[in-house]
Amino acid sequence: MRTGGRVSSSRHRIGMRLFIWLTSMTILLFILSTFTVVHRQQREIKESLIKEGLSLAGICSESLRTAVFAEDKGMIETVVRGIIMQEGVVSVAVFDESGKALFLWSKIPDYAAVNSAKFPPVAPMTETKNVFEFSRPIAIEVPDNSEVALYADKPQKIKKTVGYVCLVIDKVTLNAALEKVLLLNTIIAALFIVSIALGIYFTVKRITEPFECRMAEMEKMEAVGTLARGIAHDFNNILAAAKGYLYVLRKKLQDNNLSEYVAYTEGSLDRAKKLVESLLAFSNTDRNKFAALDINSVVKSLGQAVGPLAAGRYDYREILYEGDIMVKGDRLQLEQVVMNLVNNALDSMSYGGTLTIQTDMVTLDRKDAEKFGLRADGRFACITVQDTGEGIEAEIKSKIFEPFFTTKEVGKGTGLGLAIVYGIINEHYGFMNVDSIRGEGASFKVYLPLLTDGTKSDA
Amino acid sequence: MMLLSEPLFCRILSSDIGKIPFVCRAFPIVCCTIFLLLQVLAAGVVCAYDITVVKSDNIRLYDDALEGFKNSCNCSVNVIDLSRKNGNNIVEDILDSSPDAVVAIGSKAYEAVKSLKKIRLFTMLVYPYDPAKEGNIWWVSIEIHPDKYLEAAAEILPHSRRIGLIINPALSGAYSRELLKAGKEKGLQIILKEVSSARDVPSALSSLSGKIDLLMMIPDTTVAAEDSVLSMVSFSYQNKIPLMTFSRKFLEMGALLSLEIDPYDIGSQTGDMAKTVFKNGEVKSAPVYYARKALLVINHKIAAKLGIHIPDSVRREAEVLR
Repeated sequence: MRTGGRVSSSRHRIGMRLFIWLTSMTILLFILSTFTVVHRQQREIKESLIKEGLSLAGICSESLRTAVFAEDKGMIETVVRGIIMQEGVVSVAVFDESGKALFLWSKIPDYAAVNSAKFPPVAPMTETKNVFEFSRPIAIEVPDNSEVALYADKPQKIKKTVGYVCLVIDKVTLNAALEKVLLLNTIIAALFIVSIALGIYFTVKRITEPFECRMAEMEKMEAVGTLARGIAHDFNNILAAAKGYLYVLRKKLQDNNLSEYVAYTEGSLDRAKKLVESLLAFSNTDRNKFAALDINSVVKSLGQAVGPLAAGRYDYREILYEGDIMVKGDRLQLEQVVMNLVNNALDSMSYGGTLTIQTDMVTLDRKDAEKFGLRADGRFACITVQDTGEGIEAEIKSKIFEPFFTTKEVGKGTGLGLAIVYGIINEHYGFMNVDSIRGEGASFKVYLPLLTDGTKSDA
Repeated sequence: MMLLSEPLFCRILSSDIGKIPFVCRAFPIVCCTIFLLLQVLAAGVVCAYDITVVKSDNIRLYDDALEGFKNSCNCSVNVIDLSRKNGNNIVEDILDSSPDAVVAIGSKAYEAVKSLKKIRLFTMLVYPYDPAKEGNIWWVSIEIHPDKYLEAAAEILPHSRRIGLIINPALSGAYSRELLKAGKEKGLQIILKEVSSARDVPSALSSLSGKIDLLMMIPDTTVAAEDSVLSMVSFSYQNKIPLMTFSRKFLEMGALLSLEIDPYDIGSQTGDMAKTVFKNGEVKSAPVYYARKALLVINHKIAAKLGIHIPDSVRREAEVLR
């Protein structure tokens, strides 16, 4: 019952803690990834807009070569009109090489004048708070009159700048696109977070539910054990006092026919004392008496007693592991465990059957260990007591280890047999498992931690 | 040298060193010291000048000239390639580094540095020549001396006494005058036709038809334009008049021969000129020097088509394209 305190403090929180931790991590990851995706998409949108602006300025520059060279304002206007119609374009200005404005158009008041002030434009693109400004020189190709034209294998045409085109695109379109991206990504992220949180909740619940059920059982047994220990202790004191008074009464009633009743009362008190001792065995065990012992020897010594009990009515089979199976424990208590299980098995086979006691060594991994509430995984001794009796109904399987729970007729059982077994096994840091199908019998498996690995022990 | 100072040197050699007179003992050390000092001085003389070379572009024409200059000049050269560097602040950069001289290779480089007043400026491969610019500028012309053109023509085509020449006076007026003068001295008749654009070349050619034995093309970007050259080649075929040019690239288009410059030698010539200028301490520029080396290249196929026999003596000296 010593593990109960720790279990009760964490039982309700393990699943919730796991859920909160995993959900928090998921939310954090999604925030980070959403931020990264949004940032990247926004950068791509911005780059796309800049590329488009540069492209428009380039088209404008190419288309305006002849018009600017000839300073034909009509032709310039025809070319620029196509550019003005593009979304986001708020200003277009065309200059000759000296800075004289050949064409000015702007939705923004005085913006063309601002462009003029910045002449000649140096950078192909300038970003301000509200707009992107693009500029491109307008150049015509002229023959190279240098020595390269005379002697080089492939004389190059040289470009002469005849003017500049300046284009302004506002950021309204960009900002709208950026907001759209942010909103869309936020919605997607929120949906994902909710879906994944639900997934995590159900997954965690499925994983931790068996463990929590086991913890709940252990807690309940711990509470029952604590209650039983308290009652048994007080009861013991009361019984001792009662027995003392009865002893005095019997002395005083010697040769009186009433002493017969005193003897009956003493018998009743003895039975009550045994009951209390059983309760104490369930609730408390002295681990100082533990010593190394071979499980096979425990079963063998009991087999001598069980054989005659089963003779005639039952088939008795004993399947023992070939080597020694060493555990640390109290021999008497473990004998009591096996004996209680055997008694239960025999009681369940009213019309005969087969009783099998088997010993074995098994290995439990971490998952199994956690499932059964064990301290650690590893190798365990396993004692199986199997019968072919009536079996146990699924509904009462979780209650069979509770003190005073019995399916036997009134007066035939105290309901403490399996509770005592449970208490003893728990004190040995082991656990029990029951498999049963109604009408086909039951199989009780007791697992105890091995003292040494292997059969060649120092026992 | 400090490590080989006399006391240490003596201790290393032997204990009897003290018997040798001091003068004899010191002699090898003094000789070594003098030798090393001479080496250092010689190196100092060879690389006494820092020269900044500004190259117009990263093309073979300029690279060959730069190589020739480096090999001839034997000075410390810092190269600025205008194909990689914007020429806007080049004058400031040069003034900051204050070299002993600046060499401009090509017209673009010359335009970038011509405002330098207090630094000697050597130029080569610059076209067209800017005669108004004098003072601190020394020129090696992109053109070959007119005599060489006429001598080559006389050797290969001895019967060609009437030579047709089409020029744009704005670009090659000065050189054509030199050519006319040289022709006159050699008793050759040079018929000059002036054009202002490539469009005028066909009509100029028509006016020369039947009047010339040889058509000459000198470095002139108006006449050397592709359309003009095609017109001249066409005229050459139709009238069986050989075409003499200044670059082998026109031979592939149908010219008979070319007398062309050697960019490497122009670089060497500039290097030699720089050395002379530094040696004599000249501060004022000299007259323009023509390119001293001329390479004769003949198109054998065109010669055959025109029925011209190239003398063996010329074949041995010239490069013949087959």
